[in-house]
Amino acid sequence: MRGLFPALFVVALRSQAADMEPQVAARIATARAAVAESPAAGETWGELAMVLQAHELQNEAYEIYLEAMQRAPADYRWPYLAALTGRPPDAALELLAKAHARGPDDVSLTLNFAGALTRAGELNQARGVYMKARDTESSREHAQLGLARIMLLQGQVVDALELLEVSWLGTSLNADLYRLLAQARRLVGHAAGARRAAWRARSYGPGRRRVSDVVDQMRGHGVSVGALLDRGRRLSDRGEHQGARALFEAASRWDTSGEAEIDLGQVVLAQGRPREALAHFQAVLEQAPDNPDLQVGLADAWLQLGDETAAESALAAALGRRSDHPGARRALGRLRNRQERFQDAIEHLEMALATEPTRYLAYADLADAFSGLESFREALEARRKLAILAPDQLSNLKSLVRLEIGRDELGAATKTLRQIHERQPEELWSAFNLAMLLATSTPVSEADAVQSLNLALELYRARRHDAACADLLGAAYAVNGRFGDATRVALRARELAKGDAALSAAIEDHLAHYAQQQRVTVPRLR
Amino acid sequence: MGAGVAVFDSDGDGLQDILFTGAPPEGPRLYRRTAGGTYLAATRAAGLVSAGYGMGVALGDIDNDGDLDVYFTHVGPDQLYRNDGEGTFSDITPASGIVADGWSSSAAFCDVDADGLLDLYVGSYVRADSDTRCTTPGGVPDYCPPNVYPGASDRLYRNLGGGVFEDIGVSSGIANTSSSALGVVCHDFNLDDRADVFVANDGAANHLWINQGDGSFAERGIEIGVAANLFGEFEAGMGIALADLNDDLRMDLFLTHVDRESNTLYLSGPNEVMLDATIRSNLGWMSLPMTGFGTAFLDFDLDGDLDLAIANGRVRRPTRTLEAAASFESTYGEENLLLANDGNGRFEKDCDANPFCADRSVGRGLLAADLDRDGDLDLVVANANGRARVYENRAPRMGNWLAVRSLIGARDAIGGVVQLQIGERRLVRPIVHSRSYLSSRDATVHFGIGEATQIGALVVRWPSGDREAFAVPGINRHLVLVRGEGLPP
Repeated sequence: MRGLFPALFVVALRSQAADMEPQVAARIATARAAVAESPAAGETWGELAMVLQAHELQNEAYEIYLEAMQRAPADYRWPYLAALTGRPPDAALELLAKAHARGPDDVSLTLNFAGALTRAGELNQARGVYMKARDTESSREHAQLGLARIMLLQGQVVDALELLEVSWLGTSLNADLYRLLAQARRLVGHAAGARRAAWRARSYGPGRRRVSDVVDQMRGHGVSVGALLDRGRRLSDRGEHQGARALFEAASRWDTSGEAEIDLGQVVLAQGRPREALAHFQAVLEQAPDNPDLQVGLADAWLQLGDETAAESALAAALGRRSDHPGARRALGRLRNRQERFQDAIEHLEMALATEPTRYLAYADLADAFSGLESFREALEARRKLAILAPDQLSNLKSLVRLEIGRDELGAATKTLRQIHERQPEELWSAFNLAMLLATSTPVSEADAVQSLNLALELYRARRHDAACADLLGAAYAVNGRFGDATRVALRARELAKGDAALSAAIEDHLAHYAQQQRVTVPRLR
Repeated sequence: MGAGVAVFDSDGDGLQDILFTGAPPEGPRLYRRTAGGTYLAATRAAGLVSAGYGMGVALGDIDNDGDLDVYFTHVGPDQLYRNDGEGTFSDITPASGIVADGWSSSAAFCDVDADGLLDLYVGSYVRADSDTRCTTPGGVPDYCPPNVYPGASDRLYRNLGGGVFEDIGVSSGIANTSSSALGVVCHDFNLDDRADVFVANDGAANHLWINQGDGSFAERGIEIGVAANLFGEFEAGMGIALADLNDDLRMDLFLTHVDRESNTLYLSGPNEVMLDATIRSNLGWMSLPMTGFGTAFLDFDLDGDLDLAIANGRVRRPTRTLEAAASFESTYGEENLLLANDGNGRFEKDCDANPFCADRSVGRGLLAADLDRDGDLDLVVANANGRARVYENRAPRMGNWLAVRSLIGARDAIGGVVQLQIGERRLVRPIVHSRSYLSSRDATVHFGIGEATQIGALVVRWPSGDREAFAVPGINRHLVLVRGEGLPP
């Protein structure tokens, strides 16, 4: 073993001596045993390296990645991850180049490689990589920004400006875009425009950064308390509460600080189980009575249980410890929303956002407060900001659609519905409303008409006894010029809608339209 | 995070003394230079004894009496000491009206209201608490990054005279925002004859406070281009070096950062924009593995181009290891960098057989100053949890030099610039005390002038914007210029 695999031998020898959490040592030993069993497989070496890297054992991980690269020369993950083990910049770039040659379709790797080339001053090569990345939907915006940066570096200010002026609203890159735009505008002497862009850059704050699937996979091997908490918090931040809960539960088995228990309480709370959450929080109350996060958790739990007095008291304790604690301010904002003291709520929520711009979920509460004051424009703005900063928050996107529809911004609502549908195609509410808006919009493109029909057909197949779905299918046939089919399904809808006067009246109206070879233009949304 | 260093003539004997900040129980240390070139401990005799947890030090002549007073920033209440002129200092904090009791970092004296008295800008780091614990993504306990703590507001104090200051943080707009300041320099960036302030924030947008002339400041970091680097990243701003590298008579900024971020050079461009020129200058790539703190532009070989010195020292563990635990210095220590300018604004490492680079300490404050008055700039480095270092410049000389001190009355003309014409080239140096990281020195400016033996013109632009030309009696010497003794340019 020693002679054949010196790197593996080093890991074995050192992990016996190192002072590490027992579950980490056990995880390393398991991965090492897998290598010993299948030493020719690149995958087992790569797995071992990922286990080491997930626990910050970078040098050891690097040595093992080299072994994995030898045995699996086509697998791009190993050079990619090896590049992230703290190598000197030139060596890291070389590894990224190797990884990109093996896996040119990995979006994160491609953008990472192009960024590294730019930093290394290899601007023409970087430009080539960005140009290719521009062809892929998911990397287009990053690539555009990368190209604009290279243009600025090469003194092509006007070209950069042209690229930056293209509206990309709706991406998490907004703050970056506006910062660069501010500078480019100022460079060409457009001071007022620069100031406007700077203001927008400030107002957006940092968006959620793209995380590579490969890096996520590597981190997934982490079993130390810190690694479990870190991963759990990332998942929780993305709204994946069940996964986060499993990780916090695993961490709590080893954690002696009480942190895991607090996180567990918070995620259980997010799953709508306040009593269970309360138990988790109370379990560590004696251990960390002054911890403001714990007090905020308690307050949230009391709030969900309807005990506003207990919630107030816990928040007072948290704010007594730190008067601008963003979590406490957000919780207080929610409490005031519940008490219909919307103006107070806005004050607390804005303070939470100003203190910690990354706590952007507070925008949802802020939108609720504005809605409570019937300031729907401001509510819409808050929801839009959240949609940009955390595009994976589907509940926010749905609320945004409702506000957009309420304000008759049907084009914007269609765009938001597309966002939801792309992320969650099986979700019926958004599919129905998207199909309906596409079928009834004016003007309508051929592609939209076809998409509305496809969506309506899917919905109709799934819910054959739903009168609204049959009515939708009729509208979708009509927008595609198939009035005979439209009439046929509208008659079926009329049958199904018996007893629902409003829907029946609408279907009659639609049948009249179809008889005159006219499509429906007034959407009946859910 | 400490410590800072100051180099100045504390007792009026014409020699450069060195003052290091420190933590209890030792506190700050003042070393007086002797005529023989050695240093004598003089802290107690000078009255600079402080029980505060030292961070930085700012120099400034607050009473225009010709000697430099000392402001210590602390984790806890800061302290202001007045120089009594003969090597002793008095703590005048209680009567000064200055109440800076958070975690202050770098501070700078400059005359923001143009009333002839130096005001004081104090950078504030964060409001840290001992409850917060941090780990790396892999779960290894590590120092917390600043963004886990609430930010703190910087402070601005107006000098009312008589050692009394008024807090104008809120009315000026400075204190209406909070961040995580580490480096501070004061200079007229937009050439409107008013003192502006640049603040390097740790992990947050840098601030460029443009003086509006009515007692208020407007933050213009984003549109001028210095808030974030080219990649839109808010870097961990630490130390600042200020110089005109591209000979356009406007100041450029060099900032040091934590490892995995490069150091960043912002060069002045059209319409007051500052462009991230890190890649072009070759200053980024080589700095990626290092954590830079103190930094200074200096023409160490006197060839006429500004070179760069950087003190490095980690704040986060380089990597976990299965090997036995290492010492603090071997875990956090890093080599320093000396970078030579090739004359075209591109920098290359010049570290061969150079003890400044070879010392693997945990570098923090750094200053370049002519300690031995031999015409070249030496280096002083304050290290965290380790011995300070003084490096005498023994680099082969490639040319001649000139050192200039510019005075308004008895006080240095902080906020002005000295401009030297050599052939077609115009070299400009800013007159500042505070610079680098937590550090401050006397405001003498130094020019390496290469093989030139004649100076075309020597002009001082005073903080008011007035310009005055002075005769140059010869090169390779120290000059003292006093406002009103020159001629219109």
